[in-house]
Amino acid sequence: MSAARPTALALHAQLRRVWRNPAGWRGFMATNHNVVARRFIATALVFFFIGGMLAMMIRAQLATPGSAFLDSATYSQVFTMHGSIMMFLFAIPLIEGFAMYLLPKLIGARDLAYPRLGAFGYWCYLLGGLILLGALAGGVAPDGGWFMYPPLTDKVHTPGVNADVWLLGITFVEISAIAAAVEILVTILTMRAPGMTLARMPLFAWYMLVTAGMMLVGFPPLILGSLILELERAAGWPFFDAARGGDPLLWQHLFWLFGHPEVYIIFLPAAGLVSTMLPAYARRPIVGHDWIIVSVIVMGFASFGLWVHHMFTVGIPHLALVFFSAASMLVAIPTAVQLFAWIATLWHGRPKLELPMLYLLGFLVVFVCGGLTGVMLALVPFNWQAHDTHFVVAHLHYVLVGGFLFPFLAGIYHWFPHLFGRRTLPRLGALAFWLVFLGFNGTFFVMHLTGLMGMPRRVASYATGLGWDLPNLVSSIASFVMAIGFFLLLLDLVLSAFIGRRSVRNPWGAPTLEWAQATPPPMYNFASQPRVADREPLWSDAALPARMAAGEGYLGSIDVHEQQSLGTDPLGAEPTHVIRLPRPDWRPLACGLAVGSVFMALLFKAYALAPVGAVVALVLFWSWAWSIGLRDDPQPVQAGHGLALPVHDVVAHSPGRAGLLWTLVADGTFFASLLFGYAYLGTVAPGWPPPRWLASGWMLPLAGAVALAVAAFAVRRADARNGAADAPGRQRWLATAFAAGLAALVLVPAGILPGLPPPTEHAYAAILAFMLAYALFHVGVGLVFAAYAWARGRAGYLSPARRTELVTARLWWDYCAVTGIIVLLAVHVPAWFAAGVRP
Amino acid sequence: MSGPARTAACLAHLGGGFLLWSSCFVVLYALLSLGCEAGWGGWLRPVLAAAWALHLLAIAAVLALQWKMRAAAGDGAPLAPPRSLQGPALALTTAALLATAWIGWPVLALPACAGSELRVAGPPS
Repeated sequence: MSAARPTALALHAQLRRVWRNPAGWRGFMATNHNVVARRFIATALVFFFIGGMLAMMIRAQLATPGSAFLDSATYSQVFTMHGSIMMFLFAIPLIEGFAMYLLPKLIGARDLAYPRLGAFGYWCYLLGGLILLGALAGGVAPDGGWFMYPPLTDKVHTPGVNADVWLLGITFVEISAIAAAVEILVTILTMRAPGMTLARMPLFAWYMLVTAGMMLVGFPPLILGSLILELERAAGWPFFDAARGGDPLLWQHLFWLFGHPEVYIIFLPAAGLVSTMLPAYARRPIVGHDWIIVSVIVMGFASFGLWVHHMFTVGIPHLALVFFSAASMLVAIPTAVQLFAWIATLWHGRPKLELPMLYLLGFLVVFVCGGLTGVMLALVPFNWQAHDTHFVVAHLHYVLVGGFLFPFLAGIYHWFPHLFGRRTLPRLGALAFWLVFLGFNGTFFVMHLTGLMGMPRRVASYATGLGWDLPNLVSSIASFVMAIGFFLLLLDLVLSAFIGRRSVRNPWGAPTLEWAQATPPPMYNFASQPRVADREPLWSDAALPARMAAGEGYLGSIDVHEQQSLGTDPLGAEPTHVIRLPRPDWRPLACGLAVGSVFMALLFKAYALAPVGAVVALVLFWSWAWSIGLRDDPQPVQAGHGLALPVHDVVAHSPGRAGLLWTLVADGTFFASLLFGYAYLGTVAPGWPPPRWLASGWMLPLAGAVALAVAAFAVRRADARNGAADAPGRQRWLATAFAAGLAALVLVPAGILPGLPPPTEHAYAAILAFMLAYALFHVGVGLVFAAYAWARGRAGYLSPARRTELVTARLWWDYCAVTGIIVLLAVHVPAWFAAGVRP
Repeated sequence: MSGPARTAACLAHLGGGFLLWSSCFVVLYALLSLGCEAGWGGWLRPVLAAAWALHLLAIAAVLALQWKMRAAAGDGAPLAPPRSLQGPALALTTAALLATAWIGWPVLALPACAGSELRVAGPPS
């Protein structure tokens, strides 16, 4: 051991140099997951306290009948911002922060798959959040509820900028969620430590795998809804205007297609933390490991079958209500499986009552109550009675605070020693817990009764004598008790970060790999990456941390000059390649600012500036992509244990391809939602058929489809010529693809625009115009892909081994051609039939 | 068999049953909405029941295939998930079959379009 010591120290010194994080103002360039995740967590907590203050204003207003504390308009802004901040600026970003911080450590990796994408996501989140906060400070915050139902939020009923702030600001923030989801999926599937098969993967990674998939499918309907509602407000395209063929219920469908899975997107990571923490406190492995995995996957799917239970009162056929009611009850079963697994783990273990355990027990109590009222609300007759009352407010807070906040507070206390290398103050923490727990139940348990007595949601004031005075006063007093608890919690965390007792490594005796590190962790996480043989590596092999620190694992060579982490195959987790990770970079921030400028231009109706911002963003993204890659075929990397691995630039399934693939899953969901909207309006909305159909021929649409197909084919040929070491042929085919793409850019709209009625006339023309814009946007991006691949080929970045640019361009053009042709069919075929023309 | 193909097959084994459940859910809801709007009358219930039955059969077929693979070759079958995930895959497909039966049986018992008249009609076009 003593002989190895100088080598290990030298290895750590070298890794510190290679993974050094810039200091001072250059810290804005940081991309390492340790830094970006901390920023996410800290910013989310700031938003939590802002959202909490808004909640206190709500309770102050409702404490007494006829209160004059807030006027009705301000109250609407306050409750809208409370909900929006808690859902979009606190819960989701906190999940992202925890996932970014923990996942690489739990799976034995050195960083996430796309560090710069994570940093870009953070800047989008922060800037989007600041847009919303700026509006709040300026008195023009959104005021239509966090669900933004039209027609309340259309231009007629909300003429100011308030709704635009929400629609654009939240869409901007959503970029961060999609980016995080892609990053999480690729990291979990391709960067696990050798030997960490899917069955041995920590449960938190399983939960995040499912959650990230849900985010990719759940967020696009909301993004689509926000974009078309903003278009209706800004340009008068009547997607939701019943007088012109639109339907406000389309918004409800799109919103709740996101909104209900969102509840599980929030709950599942929290449950993942519970499943990860409990074994440490119960001092035994989790009970029912495989059943938990099954339950999580069931919940991931079933959560998408519940959205209409938010719409039970809008006039949907009873039979459809029964489908959704049945699915809503169904989801209780996998939830219960997990609860029983957690209880059984405690029952069969030797639990120790540390501070995080208080929050875990609080979670079990509160979440079970929220789940039971959820089953009540899943029953249609009860739902009709309780709809839009304070009963629903109480239920959702029991679910979200119980199912999300308590586990995450447990997580903050559990991993606090990891983050700061210090312990929290136990007595202060326990006092804070009891105030939060009692205050919470005092506030919201009573609110069930207020709701059952008929008090509606979202009213700024109420008359006395309805029996609501006392319960409201009790709720308000208890809410301030809870607020004091949160203040003490904050005090505990801040004080402990500076003066807390130094923590030993792994103070809870946890079995997972993150505790194999020094705390706080170094930027490179592990001096060498381990081989994992079971689910509890630190319990089965106590010497593992020392061996990893001594460089005895993989990638433990001192001869390292770039940031590297192992790439492994998704099932067996055997090493397949070495991922070269980027250094700190200013481009994520610059790209965030450029994209933000586009949103700001749209918000302030400075439409001429939006394309300028878009071009700047394009140039920056081009520069971002250009900064990686190799001009020569690289030598294999000696990864240790006799393994010589290729770098990711020359493997078929590079991180770039995987990332694009998952991004296209989100894009495909957006497209499917768009088709759903079109079909919904065409079949269910009032005011159809439209007064005028598209005047359509068949020559130009056919030519457009051919151009799309030729572009996709040409990129495939370019890839094939590249494989045959025919560089001139490759470049010619890329140029052909570019030309065919340009032709599509002209032919596709040429077949639609001349015969299209004005999009302001009817929802039919509006959605056709939007579908055309979708297709053209993708063709435009496809042109960039083709041009980029051509430029990279010309600059020497492509070879038969190095073909990432071609693989990604091919993937994009395949998608672009398929969706473009579907758009052409969806646009033209109904018009042909309406006109009696058979092409 | 390539690594990505094995990964895709594994994910299909784990999620295939519930993908079919999702399909059943969407198809039933879409057919019901279309049928009620278009006034399919007495045809609607048999159409819904047929769609439901087809999905049940499809999931049952996946389940039978998984049993067969598990019994026949374990890890060795090219499209089989790793042995450690075969149990969860079977449990998921079984759960999907039960869930599909649970959400779909009302098509046999309830009138198809009752309640849709509650929706406020739009202005005359």
